Amino acid sequence: MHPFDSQLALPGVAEATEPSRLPRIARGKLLPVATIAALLLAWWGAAHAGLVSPLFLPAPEAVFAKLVTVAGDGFVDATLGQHLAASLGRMLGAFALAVATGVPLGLAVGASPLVRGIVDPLIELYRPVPPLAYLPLMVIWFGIGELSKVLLIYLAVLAPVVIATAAGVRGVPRDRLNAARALGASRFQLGHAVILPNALPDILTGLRIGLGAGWSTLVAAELVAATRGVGFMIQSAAQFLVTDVVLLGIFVIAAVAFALDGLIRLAQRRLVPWQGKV
Amino acid sequence: MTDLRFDQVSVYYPGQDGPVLDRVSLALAPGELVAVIGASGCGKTTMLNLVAGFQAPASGRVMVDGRDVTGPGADRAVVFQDDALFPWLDTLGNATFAARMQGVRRVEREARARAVLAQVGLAGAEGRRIWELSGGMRQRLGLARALVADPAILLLDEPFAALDALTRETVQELLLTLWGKSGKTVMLVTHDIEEALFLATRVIVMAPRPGRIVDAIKADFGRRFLAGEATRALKSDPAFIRLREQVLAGVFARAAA
Ligand SMILES: Nc1ncnc2c1ncn2[C@@H]1O[C@H](COP(=O)(O)OP(=O)(O)OP(=O)(O)O)[C@@H](O)[C@H]1O
Ligand SMILES: [Mg+2]
Repeated sequence: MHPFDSQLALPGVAEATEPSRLPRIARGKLLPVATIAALLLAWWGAAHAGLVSPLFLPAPEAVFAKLVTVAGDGFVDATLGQHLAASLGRMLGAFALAVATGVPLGLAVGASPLVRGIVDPLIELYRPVPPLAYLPLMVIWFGIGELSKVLLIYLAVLAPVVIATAAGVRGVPRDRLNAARALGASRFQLGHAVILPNALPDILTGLRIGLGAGWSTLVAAELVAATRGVGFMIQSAAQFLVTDVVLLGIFVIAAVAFALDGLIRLAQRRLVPWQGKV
Repeated sequence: MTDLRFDQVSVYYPGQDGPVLDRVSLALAPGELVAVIGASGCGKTTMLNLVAGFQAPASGRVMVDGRDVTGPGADRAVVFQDDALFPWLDTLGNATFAARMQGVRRVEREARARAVLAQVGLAGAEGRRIWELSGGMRQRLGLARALVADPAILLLDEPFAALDALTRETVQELLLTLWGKSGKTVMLVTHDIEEALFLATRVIVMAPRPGRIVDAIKADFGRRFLAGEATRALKSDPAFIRLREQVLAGVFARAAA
């Protein structure tokens, strides 16, 4: 042991933060729960006071009951599980494709001014256009089937992944690169031993943004052209004014988005524990 | 044992009217520990960067063992002011980095790194993530990471500036001990005149605009520490105080001029 280790460990720090910690966690967890509970209560009250017709606002328990029937018997020829599987299948397929191509492309954009000069304008050109604006074009080119939808999500995920990865590559602190070079790293070794791990937090942030963008694009795409999927389910229900299924669909979409985001955040905590700490 | 020479070295940066270094010449004998002090912006880091091979001079030559420096290499390790550790690696991973780049086998490089970590007082911290280390521990890890590369020349850029006085003195003593054992050639940049005098065999004083060497003072307090004298006694030695005041007076006189 080093003689100064005991001082350096700063034994007071852990205790010092302890007292204020409990209330903060309680506040952080309780407040959102309370907000949602209040919203549910207001909804329940409004539905039961007879203020709004059930056609416009079905009661919460009616929506929950619908969840059970749609999960079991289905709606427009498919169970909730099948609709969800169709949506998630498109999403994850497009996401996997975007990661497999977007990360290497982003690395190349970050590392090479030549690639950057070619790819940057292309991405900057299509990125600001809302995907629904070019969905009709995709349908004309690739038909109304899976391909046009998967490509649409793919494009929505690709841009943030490429941009974030490239930024991560360019954002390596100069000292860190120089330190590695002075420790004998070759150009090739710099790439995988320094630049890649250094860009990992940015890559994961890009994936997180991409996942969110992809999911909202997908649901919108299914509203326009699909025969199965959560977006399609909502659209069909709306045509027959089955409001409880519409609400149910919205909740499912929100829950899936929340779960996907949670998965990525879990991956961030696992893979890049240093993010925000150094 | 490796020597180091600056021969009429000039450096210009775009956007600066004058040279940042103006025909600087300096020679470090093998095993010498030279401290470079001077006002902010006088080109100290630039000098280290030249030796490290991060940049090339506009004119003049920088030579290690008689050969021109052409780029970075593991024979010249750098310890940076803000430790520049790799956060995706734990303490042991940072310490083994140079050996991993050299292709040393895992068992062997970890044994080597553990030995050096023990030398700098980090035994037992091998598995810690670097944000779990204190500032002093991080600086010692930066030093360990450089030492595992077993460089002939050790380049230190204000490595202890961020430490509290107590910790800084411990790390200074550690550096002297390691230097005494290894006989490496060391070039240390610092703002702290006392630190320079205590550690160095020679203190180089620089002045800015253009960056140049204006004074060189020989000292032997580091060697006396290695011979067994106490740090506090050395730093309050009349000879130490006289030299310190002499250097300070020179620095202030030039600042006023
Ligand atoms: N990359 C650069 N481009 C342009 N000017 C630079 C660059 N790096 C350093 N300089 C300038 O060169 C001069 C010397 O810089 P250097 O970093 O060597 O100073 P220093 O003596 O290490 O200063 P400090 O004590 O503040 O670290 C400064 O005036 C600085 O502004
Ligand atoms: Mg500097």
